[in-house]
Amino acid sequence: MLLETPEPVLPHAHLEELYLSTFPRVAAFVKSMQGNLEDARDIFQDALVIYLEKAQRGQLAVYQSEQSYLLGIVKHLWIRKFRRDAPKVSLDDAEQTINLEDAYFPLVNETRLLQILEQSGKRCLDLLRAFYYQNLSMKKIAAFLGFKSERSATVQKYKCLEKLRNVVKEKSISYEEFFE
Amino acid sequence: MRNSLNEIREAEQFMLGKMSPGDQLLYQARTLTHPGLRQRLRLLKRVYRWSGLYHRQQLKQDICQLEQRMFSHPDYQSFQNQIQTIFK
Repeated sequence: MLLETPEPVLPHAHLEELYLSTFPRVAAFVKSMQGNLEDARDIFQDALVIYLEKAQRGQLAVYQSEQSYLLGIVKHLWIRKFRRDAPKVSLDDAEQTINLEDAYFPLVNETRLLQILEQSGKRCLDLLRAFYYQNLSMKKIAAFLGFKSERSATVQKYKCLEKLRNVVKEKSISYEEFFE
Repeated sequence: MRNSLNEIREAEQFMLGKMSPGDQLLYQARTLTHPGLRQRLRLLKRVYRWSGLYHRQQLKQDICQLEQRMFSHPDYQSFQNQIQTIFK
């Protein structure tokens, strides 16, 4: 159970502002590609996830504006999802430099794997997420997740690595089923 | 336990690209001759990826909550109208 929540990468007000300022442009783009509102909502959510993760990692290279950058991510996602549309999507110079790593795209069975890991080790996932992806110090993680000390949290992180591996083993899941 | 924690810390430094180029090469060389190190690094990479999947899932849930509100709450009526117009 979280005792406190870490500060969000972008406050809700900023996210809301991104929706208000950028979603109409995304909607217009999706409409031009013969997509519908649901397509636009889905793809904008995915683009925001990528945008937030890049922001957390300090990987944003915003040449023009946040809105343009987000639209660029949307275009790349559209091309990835609908490869036949690639010739129809024009990318300006800045948009062409946007890189979407393969890590952002789950493989077919990863959803199932994640469900299993979440059922058996949600607290571990929260801890590892906080350390690897939210860039929180072990001191903050200890406070957020209710550990007695920084050292306790560090030891727990080590145990979590082993636990998640054992969960996969116990469920007789071959990792290779998912990835290799 | 302390040695294991140090090994994990070192593997993390390598995986996250936080070592100097020289240290990276040395560590990489060590993994070639130490199966235990290699296994530990492999586990760490897998767990790192799983954590990333979980992180993105949680981010998406947060975004969905906000988005649901923006597409249904009366406070955002003009935004909703604007979007509806685009898809008419």
